[in-house]
Amino acid sequence: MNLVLRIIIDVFIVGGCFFAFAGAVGLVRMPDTFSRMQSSTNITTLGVLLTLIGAFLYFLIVKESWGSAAKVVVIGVLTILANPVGGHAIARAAYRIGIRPEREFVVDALADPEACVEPSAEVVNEPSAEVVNEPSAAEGAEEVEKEDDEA
Amino acid sequence: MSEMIELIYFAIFYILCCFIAIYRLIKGPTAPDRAVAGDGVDVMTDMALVLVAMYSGRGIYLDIAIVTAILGFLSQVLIGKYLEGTL
Repeated sequence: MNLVLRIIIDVFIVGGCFFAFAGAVGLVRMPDTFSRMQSSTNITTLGVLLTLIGAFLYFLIVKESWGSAAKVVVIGVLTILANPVGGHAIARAAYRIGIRPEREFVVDALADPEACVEPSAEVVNEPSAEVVNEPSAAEGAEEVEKEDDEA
Repeated sequence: MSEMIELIYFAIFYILCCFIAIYRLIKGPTAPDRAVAGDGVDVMTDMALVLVAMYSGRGIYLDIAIVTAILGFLSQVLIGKYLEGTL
């Protein structure tokens, strides 16, 4: 077995282990729920992808097993497609059951009860989108004015 | 058995990271904390299974990893919809 290839595969897997460890430590150390959610995506993006790149190279070049390499690609595609969807569902549920971050929101688009409701066929989304965007833009302008006053 | 003995150490490292996440799974104050920590444990178990498959040269562990990835996605989305109340 080629030593250079072995070192390349090990570097990929060590990178994945580092990001998984960073995500796990962030999952324990972060102060509030949404921060922990953000830290856990560290595991599911870079940790998984670097490890799977190492596994793909190992199965394809060392073992020369195309079936196992295809299974590794399937795991990677599933993880990439699934985790944003699941994270979005969990984060929206956390907002809806009343969990808030420690700091104040700058933009709170979910405060509108019409926001993120699954659209029916008759509802046109554009007016509600304007209603959602206008207060946030106004708040941003107010904050800019406050900052100017303070300065 | 492969000659890459370090792969099994990487798998053990992933399992130790799982225990760090299990601490949050047990202690976590809210339900989304537990759901997110459970998803982290699920994904790291996937990676440990892929590494064990590389070490032992048996492809059956990869099939188990695929099934675990699908079940983790389904459980996360279902827990989210259940907590939101729109299930």
